[in-house]
Amino acid sequence: MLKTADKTELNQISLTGARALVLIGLLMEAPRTLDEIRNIFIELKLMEDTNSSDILRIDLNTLRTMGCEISRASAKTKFRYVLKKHPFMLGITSEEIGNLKKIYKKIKDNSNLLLMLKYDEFFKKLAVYIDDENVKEELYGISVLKNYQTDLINELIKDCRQNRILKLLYKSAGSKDYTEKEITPLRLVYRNDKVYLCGYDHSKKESVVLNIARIKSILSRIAGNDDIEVKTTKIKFFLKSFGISEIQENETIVEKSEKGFLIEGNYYNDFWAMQRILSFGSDCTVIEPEDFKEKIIQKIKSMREIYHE
Amino acid sequence: MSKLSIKKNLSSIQVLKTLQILLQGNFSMSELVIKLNKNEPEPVFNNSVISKYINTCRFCGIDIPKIHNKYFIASMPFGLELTTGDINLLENLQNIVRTEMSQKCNKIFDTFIDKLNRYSNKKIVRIEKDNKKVFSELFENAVSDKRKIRLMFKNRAEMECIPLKIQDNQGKTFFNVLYKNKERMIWAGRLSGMEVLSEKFVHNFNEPSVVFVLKGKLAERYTLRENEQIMSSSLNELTISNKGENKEILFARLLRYDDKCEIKYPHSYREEMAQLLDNMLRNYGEV
Repeated sequence: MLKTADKTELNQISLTGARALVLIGLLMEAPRTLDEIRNIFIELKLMEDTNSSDILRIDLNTLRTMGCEISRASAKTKFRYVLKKHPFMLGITSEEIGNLKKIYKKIKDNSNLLLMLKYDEFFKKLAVYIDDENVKEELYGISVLKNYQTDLINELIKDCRQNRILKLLYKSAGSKDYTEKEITPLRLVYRNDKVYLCGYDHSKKESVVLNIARIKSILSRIAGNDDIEVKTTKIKFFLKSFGISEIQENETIVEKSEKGFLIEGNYYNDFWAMQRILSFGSDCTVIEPEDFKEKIIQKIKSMREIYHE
Repeated sequence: MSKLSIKKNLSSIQVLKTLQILLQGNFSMSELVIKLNKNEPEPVFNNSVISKYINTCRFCGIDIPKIHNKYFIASMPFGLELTTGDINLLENLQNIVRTEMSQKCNKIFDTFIDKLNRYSNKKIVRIEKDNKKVFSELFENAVSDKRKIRLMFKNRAEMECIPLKIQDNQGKTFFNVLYKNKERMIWAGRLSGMEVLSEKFVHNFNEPSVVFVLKGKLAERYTLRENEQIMSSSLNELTISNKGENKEILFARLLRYDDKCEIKYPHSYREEMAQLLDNMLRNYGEV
């Protein structure tokens, strides 16, 4: 942070003022003992070796007078002074957080999990420098991952890369109890503000999509192999227009004409494929496979019945 | 209380006060003198004292340039430590706000960035606005002045319409307009130009609240949006009121919920959904 002072410079500055600034900087970085502060000050030539440590106590009082909340150096704090609050906090307003939320919303709707993790971490970092508890809460509230254990997400990302087999406790939607599952995680997907683990269920011997929020804990991790064959749902469909949507990374435009697009999509399961196709409304027609096409027709019929009863 | 515990350094306090004022904004020397003396029983701050205190801050690594006669904090060695990754995230946000959002949003964002700049160890890059931001501004002005607009598309088509509001979906900006009495969502990326016309419009745009029911497991695990309220809840059924969501976006979402969702109100939305489902079946020769 600082270079060592030379005499010419010291004539043009307030030495006690410099000590106050350096002290607040040091305490912002970490709690410090009186000896640690003293040694740094001597090294920076902000005080002499022969000076009494009372100088430092006066410096601490000066900071307290300015509104800093500094704990006493007691056995509880391992004789360190802890800066709890100071008047140089980041004065972010509620309006600025609201604005940030609007901008973030534009990013998150079309983003990936890694970027969302980075923003989550960034908001947490920023919140440390905000004094107002309400504004701090608003900032925490922006992140789509606010209700997730981000440590678990980061661990699962590693598990996917290393082809590990996980034993985990999972509560299925609608179920009251957690059940043990043996899963090879393949990929984490961020969709509609939720994080899903796409993987292979060894007991069911099929691909599964698990909502990360429903995972209670990972019981064990063992090395796996990468020869798992995952069955996905492949759909070919015709789309007149993307409208408010846009192509996903698991979709390919096979043909483009004046009438629209012929698209091939590869989805982790039938449910996600169904949701995607339905969201296009009447702009979309499934071409193949036949059984999926029939499922879609039946689904639309049952939806239509609701409105024609 | 010991004498030591009440002893403090006056000049240290004055240096810290100088720093505190500089963190609030950009000030000339005369402005600093006035601001700093404001709460003192008698004037203690003058040009040479303040210069010394500014030098003290500079000595401690606080970057305080003087541009156009104003002093300001450009960066702080302690305080918020931004990494290159953090700067990239801020630049992402900045790109969005510059290219797609209104002047007001830009102004608020700039104040936010200014604050971060003062408190951080790194400087944040600024970028210039482009067409999309200009379109957003024009669009917002047209809405508030109740004036029609002409949209010019990249394929050279034109559309004279009533501007309703700017909507975001999946990271894209859409202009929600009324064209031939039908709501349309126009993606900003399709536009090459926009003209605010002198012709005024009269229209009541009170958006209806949409009431829909969710059933089964979906009702149990549904996460309410900011613009939604629960109207009633019973076993396996949740009635929700949604206000202000664009019809096209809402319909696409409700379709995803398949037969576990039913629009109850308004009647026109219900009919439109029924019509849409008929059209979907027509694609398969089923109607």
